[in-house]
Amino acid sequence: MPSSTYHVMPAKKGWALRKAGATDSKTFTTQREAIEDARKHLTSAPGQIVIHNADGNIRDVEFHKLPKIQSPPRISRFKARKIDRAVTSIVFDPRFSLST
Amino acid sequence: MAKTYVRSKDVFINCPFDASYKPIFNAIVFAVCELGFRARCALEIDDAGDTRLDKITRIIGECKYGIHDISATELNPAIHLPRFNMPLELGLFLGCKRYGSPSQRSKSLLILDREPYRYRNFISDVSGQDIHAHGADPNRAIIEVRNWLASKGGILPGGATIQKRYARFLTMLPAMCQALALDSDDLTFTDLSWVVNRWLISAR
Repeated sequence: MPSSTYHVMPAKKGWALRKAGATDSKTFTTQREAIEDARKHLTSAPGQIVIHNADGNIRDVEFHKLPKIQSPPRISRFKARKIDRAVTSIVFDPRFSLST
Repeated sequence: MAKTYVRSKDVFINCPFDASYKPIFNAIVFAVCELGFRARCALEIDDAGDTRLDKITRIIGECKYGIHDISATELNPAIHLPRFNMPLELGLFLGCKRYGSPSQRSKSLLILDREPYRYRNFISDVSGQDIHAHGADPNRAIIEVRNWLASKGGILPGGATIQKRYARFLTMLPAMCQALALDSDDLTFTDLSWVVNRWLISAR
């Protein structure tokens, strides 16, 4: 069951829709438009949409035909954000792009 | 005594915590999280006020599912004694299932060992439970965990898909640890759970 993860993230001008493992992205004026476009990609295929805040932290995740990921043991918000940022930065690191 | 609620997505992982077992432990944690369950184990709390047994019994009470790896049964060469922690925790889990409230009796467990039928030589009373061999191979452990949890209902990703994602996760783990200024060998269970959780949410 191959799946895709789409990130709706803040961009320089508006909101970017970026697929995990891809190097390019699509830009939208509003976050809602970016989310709607991501949903179109997942009408038949399994995947998830990761919605980030304006500051880049993960705000919400929509799961489409994939098991919902349960929250791990509680840690401080500061540490959770630190892990969030570290993982997101590596997921979008060109060294780990799926096309390479 | 406060009532314990059994959480239908919580999986208690009872296994050795030493470095040689870590590849299998990490693979099991990854598979459990990927399949939409929450991995729990005695390492998740660092509360000096809780005795280890109190901690373990509370976590066991909260988990509907249990994965018990009894592969570490060799004699310690220094003291010529085996380790009894895993069989003890397995016994606690079976005790909850046998004598607990109706929700505790709904518990389900998977027993893992290195080789098939080896358990008959040292813990034959568990015959009749769900016992599978992982051959000390993390990828086989993923398949065993996946097939067992898939038998509980729901449409779950296949074992090969999880293995592929886990391999990809492992290629990125050193870089993620570096970004966190951590050594991947020093990741605590809580850190690992968070990194796995965030990676699954961001990249699967």
